[in-house]
Amino acid sequence: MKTSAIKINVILLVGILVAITSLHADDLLNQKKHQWVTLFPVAPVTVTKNKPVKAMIAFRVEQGYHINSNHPKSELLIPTEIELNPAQGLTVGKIAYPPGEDMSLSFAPDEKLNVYAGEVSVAVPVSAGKSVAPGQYVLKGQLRYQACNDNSCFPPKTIPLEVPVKVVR
Amino acid sequence: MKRNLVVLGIVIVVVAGMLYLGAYNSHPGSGSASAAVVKGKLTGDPVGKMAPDFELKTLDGKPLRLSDYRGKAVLLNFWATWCGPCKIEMPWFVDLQKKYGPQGLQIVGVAMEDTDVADIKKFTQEMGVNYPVARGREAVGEAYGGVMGLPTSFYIGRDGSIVEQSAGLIGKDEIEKHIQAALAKGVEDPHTGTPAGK
Repeated sequence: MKTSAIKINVILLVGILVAITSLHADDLLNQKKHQWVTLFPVAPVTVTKNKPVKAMIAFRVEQGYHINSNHPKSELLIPTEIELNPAQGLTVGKIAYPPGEDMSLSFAPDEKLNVYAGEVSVAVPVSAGKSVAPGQYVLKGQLRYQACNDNSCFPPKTIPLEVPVKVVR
Repeated sequence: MKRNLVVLGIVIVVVAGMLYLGAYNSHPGSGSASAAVVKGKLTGDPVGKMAPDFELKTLDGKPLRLSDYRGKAVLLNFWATWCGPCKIEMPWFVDLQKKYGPQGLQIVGVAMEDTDVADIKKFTQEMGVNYPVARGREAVGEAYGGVMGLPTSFYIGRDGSIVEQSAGLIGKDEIEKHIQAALAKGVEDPHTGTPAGK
């Protein structure tokens, strides 16, 4: 009886210790994984050969934070950028990023920043060459950004993204 | 029976340790520990605890060890060239280093970025930085509780213990108060030999 009670207590102790350690480890991971931008699913685009269409990449910046626009006011600042890798005869054109909004921090009212905040949409031209066979494709890439709030800045982050493309004749 | 319990206890500790290390190391750059010798790690509230010692390289490639500054008050500032708030407080640090340097203050900057060293150096020269700046490593950030937001500063007393921490930009007056507290920490009353103020 005594031995069984000890065994049960030991098993419980093991379980509790592993759970506590996992939670703490998970906490560390969560801090590193946090994204200040949420990427919305990209709507599929339909492309006919040599006629580019625009894929809309939309995302939302977490409330209370901003990210540098694609043209921040200093070359030291990390711009928001979308990279899409051309593949299988599909090409990506020049991306026209939306203009950011000018703002300044309360501690430095004379220093202007050009940022994105709230919801942002970026149009990415996608086209298919003559040799591309009709069918379903996926363009892969990433969104890179660097977020700040009024008094802190956080390391640059990337979010993987996919653009579903349907090529028709 | 006793031996079984001991073995089980060892297994628990090993499994728990592996789980913790697995999460701790599951990020890029964690393998660069060899480029930054770190001793100690902060957990929880850092105030009152000993500041983890570390060795990094300055922008000139010279070794920089925190323990070399024992006996001085240290303002350890984690920053980056892409951090706007960091740029705002840098001129304040230059002023405060001039003002409190003769009293034993040493400001140390740690640049937490992958930017080319030459570009960081150019930036600090343009800002008139008058204190040593080291190229940061993730291992040092982790030792200081995981420096996620910049700027983050630790105010360290002459005895090596942390007097205050600030996360994010704070006002110059507040920074100065923390410096004064760090300068007073670890100072012995010459008459009694006890810590000053006690």
